[in-house]
Amino acid sequence: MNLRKIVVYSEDRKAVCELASGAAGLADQVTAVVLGTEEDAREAARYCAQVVLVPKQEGKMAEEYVPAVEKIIREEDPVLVLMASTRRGKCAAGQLAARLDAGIVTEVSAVEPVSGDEVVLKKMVYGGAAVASLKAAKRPAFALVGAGFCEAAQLSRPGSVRMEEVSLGESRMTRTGVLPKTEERVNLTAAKRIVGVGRGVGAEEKIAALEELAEKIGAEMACSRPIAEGEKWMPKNRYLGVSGVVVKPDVYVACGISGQVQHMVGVNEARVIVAVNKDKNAPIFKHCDYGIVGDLNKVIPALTELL
Amino acid sequence: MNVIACYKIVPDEQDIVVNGDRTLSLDKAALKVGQYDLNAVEAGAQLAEASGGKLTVLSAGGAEAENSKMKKSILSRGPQENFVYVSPAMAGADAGVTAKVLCEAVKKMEGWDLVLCGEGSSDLYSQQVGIQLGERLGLPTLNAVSKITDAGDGKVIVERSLEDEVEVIEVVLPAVLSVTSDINITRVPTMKEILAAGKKPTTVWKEGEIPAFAPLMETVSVLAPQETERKCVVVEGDDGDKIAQFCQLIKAELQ
Repeated sequence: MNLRKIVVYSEDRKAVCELASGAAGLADQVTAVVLGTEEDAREAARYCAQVVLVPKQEGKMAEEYVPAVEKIIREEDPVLVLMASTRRGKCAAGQLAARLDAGIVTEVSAVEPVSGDEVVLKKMVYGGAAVASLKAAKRPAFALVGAGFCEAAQLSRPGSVRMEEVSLGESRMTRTGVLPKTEERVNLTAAKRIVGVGRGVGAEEKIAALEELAEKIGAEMACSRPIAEGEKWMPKNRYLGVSGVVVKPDVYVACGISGQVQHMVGVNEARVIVAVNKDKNAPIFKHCDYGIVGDLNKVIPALTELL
Repeated sequence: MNVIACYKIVPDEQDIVVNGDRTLSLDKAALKVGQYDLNAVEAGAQLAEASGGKLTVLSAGGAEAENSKMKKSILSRGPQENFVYVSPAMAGADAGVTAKVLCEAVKKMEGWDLVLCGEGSSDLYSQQVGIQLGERLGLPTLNAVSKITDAGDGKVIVERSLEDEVEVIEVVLPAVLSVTSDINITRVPTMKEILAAGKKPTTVWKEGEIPAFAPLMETVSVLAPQETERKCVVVEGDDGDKIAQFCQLIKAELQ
């Protein structure tokens, strides 16, 4: 069952292409709203049959274009508006939803059309203890999905592009500068293999041995929430689980991770879970494919050598 | 600067029991102030204290919003006054409805310059209420705010931590900002502050004092996640042979 129509919107070119490809599998009609340049719109048209370009002016903030995007959504009258679950996406979607008096679900894990005009959206709630299924009471509804929701797939022939005339109002916010982000950017959702660091590693200097293992097997490094938020041994954008990142690697190697539900929901879709923990009773051993009860200081260097 | 910080009383997720049919049982869960809301309260307290202004806190919820222990908990963290809207319809309210209700509540309150919200509620974590509240009030609104500096002259300078950069933005007050969980380290109330909290005023609005709004999202089900079946092959012991045995198992998967 397909939805009648989806509008996708993002100020990020790559995200628009991915969202449009994802939407194409869910709806009969897809319109992509692109905030950017003509080149951005042409690129999006390789992935989406209908593109509406909102030309972005130098020095203006994405948030200032909300009324223009609202107008397009009203005209398009979609069942669902699909956007990226980024911080900017959540801000713009919230403003749009308030203006359109629409329901919204962020960090959506599944979009399930029920009929041409009805859709059920799923998301984790209560710190990962449960998944809520939510249905919009009216049209449109907003669904915000994470990176990796869908891979971009080109159309056999490019779609059409039309430009929206936009006149911006006066803004009470001015972007006066940009600072570099102190933590590096990492795309864990694309990683095929991931080594996860938990509190069981015991000390920050022990992480180096895990990095060697990760390098040997071509894995990205990730961690549990306490490592990022409590101990601050690793940056916040590397923690897996609720309010962190949800990943689907081929292999996940959990090192010193106890296996609490808040973490495990983030790796539930891994094909294979491998666990190393010295505590025989750690819940992780009930949620792994292969586990070893042993000292990380012995097991990890040995694995790095043998694998 | 006079600040309103919004908060939500939520069940402690650590006490949630999963029933045999994957439904949740929240009856035994203790209440707590949403952990991300505490950062908004702390940010508000710091701004108000530095400028000789006032911090007011605001919440909307079901009966839990009136819990006396929760009132003390929130009032021991710096605010002078507490406002609460209590209605059975607010239990499980979606982000859109919560934003509408808070919008009506904020309109009843006078003499404020800035409304702060946390990154998201601890239970539903939609990260929407602050943004939607700001939009409904017709005010400048931003999320992911990791620093707020009072620039005087009715303005604040904020830093906004996005995925790949930090924006510096000048915002004209009044405004509604949602702060990140690393904007500050929240204070631990002293015994004196906890005792003093009991004497601070709380205004309770009941049903009818704020209009009721129909939900925008209907909950179809809330169920514990279906877990992927795992093989659970566990090797016990870390001597050379055991590690080699374990290694063979993994090697096959890494091919």
